[in-house]
Amino acid sequence: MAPALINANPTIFAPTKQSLRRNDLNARALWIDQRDESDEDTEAEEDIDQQEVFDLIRGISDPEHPLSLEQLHVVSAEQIELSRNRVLVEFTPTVPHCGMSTIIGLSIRVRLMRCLPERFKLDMRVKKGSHQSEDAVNKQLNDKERVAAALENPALVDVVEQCLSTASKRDDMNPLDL
Amino acid sequence: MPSSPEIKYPYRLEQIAELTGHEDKVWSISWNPHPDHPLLASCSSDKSIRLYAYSPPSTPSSSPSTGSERKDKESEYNFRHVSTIATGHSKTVRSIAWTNDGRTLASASFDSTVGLWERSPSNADASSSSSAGDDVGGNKELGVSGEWELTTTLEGPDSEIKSVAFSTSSSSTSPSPYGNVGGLVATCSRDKSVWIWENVGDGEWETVSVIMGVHSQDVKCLAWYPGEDILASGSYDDTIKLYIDDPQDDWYDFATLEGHTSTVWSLAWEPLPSPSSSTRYLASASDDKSLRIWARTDAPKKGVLGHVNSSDQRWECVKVLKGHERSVYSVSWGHAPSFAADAGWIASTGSDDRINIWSIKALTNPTSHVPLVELIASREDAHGIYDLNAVAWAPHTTTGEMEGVLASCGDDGVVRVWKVVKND
Repeated sequence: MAPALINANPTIFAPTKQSLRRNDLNARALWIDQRDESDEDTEAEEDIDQQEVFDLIRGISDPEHPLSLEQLHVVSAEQIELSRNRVLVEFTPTVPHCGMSTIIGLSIRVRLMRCLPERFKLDMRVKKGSHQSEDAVNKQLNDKERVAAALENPALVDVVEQCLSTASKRDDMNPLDL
Repeated sequence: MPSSPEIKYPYRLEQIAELTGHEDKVWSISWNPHPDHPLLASCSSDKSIRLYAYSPPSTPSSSPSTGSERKDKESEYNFRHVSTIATGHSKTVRSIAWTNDGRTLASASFDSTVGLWERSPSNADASSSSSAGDDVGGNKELGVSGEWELTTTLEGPDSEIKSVAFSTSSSSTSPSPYGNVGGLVATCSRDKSVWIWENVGDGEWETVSVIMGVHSQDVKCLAWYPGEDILASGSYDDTIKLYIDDPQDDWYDFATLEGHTSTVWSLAWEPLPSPSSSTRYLASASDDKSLRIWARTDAPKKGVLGHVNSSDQRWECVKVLKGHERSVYSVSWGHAPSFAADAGWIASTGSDDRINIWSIKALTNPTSHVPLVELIASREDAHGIYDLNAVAWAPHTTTGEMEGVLASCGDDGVVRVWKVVKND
């Protein structure tokens, strides 16, 4: 749709093979199903790690290319920080003038708002030095009022949903999507 | 439940009401300022406004609240849902405000319009005089029921409206048959503009000014100076601007308050210390996790702030308050309860789920502009795990029972009412 792509020739990276952690979780999920319901409370408090957050966002599509954020190395597990009730997601725009950065950031935010337990406060930032308007992008992505308004804008929501349409392919093996 | 983490403070917050019903984030709350209309309003992303009537305990307490009195007092505050306005806004209702006479409620929406609402009196009002009300609310019940009707829609700004505020200078003494005639309402928006409308009577409002090019980014919040037509605005550009009307020309910004290092989310003027004095301070809340207190430091003449040469005014930050771990979204400045020998109480809240109460001590040194401020109460997890979006002190009543009462609202869709009580 866009007449000229901002980054016409992005570097593409092979996706990492499915993490061992993921398999481990799947196995446990099967096992958990057989347990008494009284165990649910303790499960609810279970910590979530970098890899699980990464698994939620790796499949999100780039707004300009039919490629995932993982394939473009926009996101990585190492760029995710967690503490008890806070997630900080850093991402790396493919080019320093990337005009799509706020769309990518918004897509990541929406994905995590939908999938992470509500107790998490989410902060986002672009990797230091990776974008010429770093502060402006960071500020916009962390302004809850702007995010709320953006999500009432049908055109913007369409773009975000397109980016997210590929992310949910992994949902069938995602224990966080209850 | 966390084990009383606020024990080290001289006061604590006791919840006196939990008001549910909104289906999405509650962004703002507003107490009707007029004693004849004891109402608390809330607005939400669910596009509705909910109105709650309240009545304080009928017998005033003789001493400051203590733990032993708590149970009795709790049962005596009565908050009940009386109306829901399905606003018809197509997007989030972000901000609401009452006129000083308590007759008109404004709803500001992300759909870039403002609705003005008035209550059509119920039958009970018409035949009121002889029959007393059915509960402690007494005749006050009559001032809160009835249908709310849209009287005017204000249009003009290009994008989401973030805040709406009525001036308090007019109509405070004798309401005219047309309500708030001469009163002003201001809005601010993502399009960087501030609009001011004037009530010209008969429910008509005219645009008196469109202020552009003052802020370089979204304008987030507005506050009218108590009793005078001076407006303050806070912005995503990290600054605060003060405006006044030039009778020969147009509204203009006469002061810029710089110091915050991120978005200014909320503003609150010091309430008039007494009818004969003038407000000296402005408080601001910011994404930089701090609150700031600003003072006019060029020794304002008693009473009149706006009519001296505005360009000579000097405003400075006199205090930075740090007590929040994330964005501070809201600040409210109220009179201190009579049992506390303070000049005022500030409530603040934000993304760290905490409500902080700060006391402003009376200025002891007449030449200093620096107020003595102390954090006197702090309530963690006030809405559980959810962000709080606003706090607001209740207007005081003659019995004193609404002193130290404030409301909060959050992303959980709940409005809570609290009373600040003394720790034993």
